[in-house]
Parts: sequence; structure tokens; C-alpha cells
Amino acid sequence: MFKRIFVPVDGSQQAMHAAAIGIAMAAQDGAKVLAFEVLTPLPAVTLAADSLLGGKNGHDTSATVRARQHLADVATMARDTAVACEEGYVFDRRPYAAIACAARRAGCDLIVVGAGEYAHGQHVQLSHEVARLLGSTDIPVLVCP
Amino acid sequence: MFRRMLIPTDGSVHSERAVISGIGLARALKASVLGFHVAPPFSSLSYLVEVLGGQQQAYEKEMAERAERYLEDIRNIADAADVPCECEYRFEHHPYQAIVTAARQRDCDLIVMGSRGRQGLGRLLLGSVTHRVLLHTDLPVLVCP
Repeated sequence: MFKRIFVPVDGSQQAMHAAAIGIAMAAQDGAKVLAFEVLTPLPAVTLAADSLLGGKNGHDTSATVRARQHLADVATMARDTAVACEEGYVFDRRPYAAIACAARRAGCDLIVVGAGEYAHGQHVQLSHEVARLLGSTDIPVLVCP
Repeated sequence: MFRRMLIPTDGSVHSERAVISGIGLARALKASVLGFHVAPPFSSLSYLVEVLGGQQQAYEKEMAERAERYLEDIRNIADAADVPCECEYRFEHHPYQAIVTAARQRDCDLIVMGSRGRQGLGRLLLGSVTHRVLLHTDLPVLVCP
């Protein structure tokens, strides 16, 4: 049925739970998994840009290290069930747009996402980003609570 | 993985696409499906009941026939794909409530729905019934474009 499953994560427990469901589906159906994280770029006021330059690199580096860790966790989970897994991340202020775009470019036919992902650390039943993703993609989306 | 999927239909093209995706997935995962339709109940003021009694019966008969027609389509697609299928319809003012309740009562572990509704702005954005189901269920929901 589905051959390439796109699994966006944000480091939350719910995202890992959704990733586990995506990997289980891939294992049963012989599909591949693409784990993906969208990182928020550091907002910078133009006037203060100079003074923030040093800090920005620090933010990007630490965000990247964290993302790699989350993606490595998903990759480990996939390896344990013998599912092929690729990883990727991108800096973008609109996670839903970045996810829809990356999933289409990667030729994925299913997105498996946690219902409250990318809610900036708040616990919500359905995040704005996931609701917007559902309205903007033409790929089926499995929303996991 | 998933054993029993609830697939609600409102008879629209979007629903039909969700039905086809859902039954395809059920076949791949060796699951069964429960086709489901919600019809709005007959509404009238209590003092008009005597006057409108006959009309209510005619209305319910008409709605039952319509529900059977929609559910027959699901049954045919499931039979063609060799997927075990049951069907049910209910009268309820709020379709999302009937869907969430039926999924729980009938031991379903996945809900498959279209992303677009058939009414108003819902045709353009995420359908209002799908949105409400996502807000009220604790089951994974596969949203099909």
C-alpha cells in the first residue's frame, strides 16, 4: 500500500510514539521510512544582527545536534525492526510548509505525525501546524494522538 | 498493527477516495473495516409532532435508504478487495460525536476520513467533521486528501 513513509519528529514523546507506529506499518508492508525534523531559525532584529552573529551560530549548532539525536533515535527504532530509514532536517519558520514540501520532494506516499507536534512545547490535542499540514498537503496523513 | 478500521462516509467524492485508501490499507495490513454513515435526525417542535408524524417516518425511510446506498458502495469495494466488512448507520445531530462513539463502542483502532468536507468553507479547508474528530478521539486518524 504505502511504500515511502514520511515521519516528522520534534523531539517530543508523542512524536516518537507516532514514529513507532509509522515504522510498524513500514515493517508490515515492506516500506521505507524518512525521518525528518524542522528546526526554528533564531529570530534576529536587523539592527542587532551584528551582535547576534556569534550567538546565531551557537543556536544553529545546538539545534542541529539535538535534531541529529532525535533522528538517530528514530533510525535505531527502524533498524531494530529491519526497516530502511533515511534522515533529514531543515531550518524553517513554518513547519507545516516545510513538512509538506519535503514529503512531496522525497516522493513519500504517507505522512505519520503526532497530533500535537510542533506546538512549541505546549500540550494540545491538535497543534496548529498539524491542522495546517492537513489542509495543505495532497499526501494522506496519519495523525496519532 | 491495525485490526479494525472505521471508515465514515458522507457520500461525497472525498469520502469515496478515503474509502478506497482505507480498504487498500486494510488489505495490506490484513484488517477488517466498518463502513459508517451518520444521518441528521428529523427535527421538529414537540407540538407539531402529531402533524408531522407521517413526514418523520417518510424522512427516516428516505435517510435509511440513502445510508444503505452509501454503505453498499463500501461493501462492494471491500468485497472486490477481499476485505472483511461490516456496515452501520446512525441518526445523530453531530456526526463527529457519532463517529468517535462508534469507533470506541465497536473496538476500532483506526479511523479513516477525507480531509475535505461537503459543506461551506469546509470544501476548501480541512473538513469540519474531520477536524472535530481529531479534537475528540484518542485513536489514530488517517486523513486522506
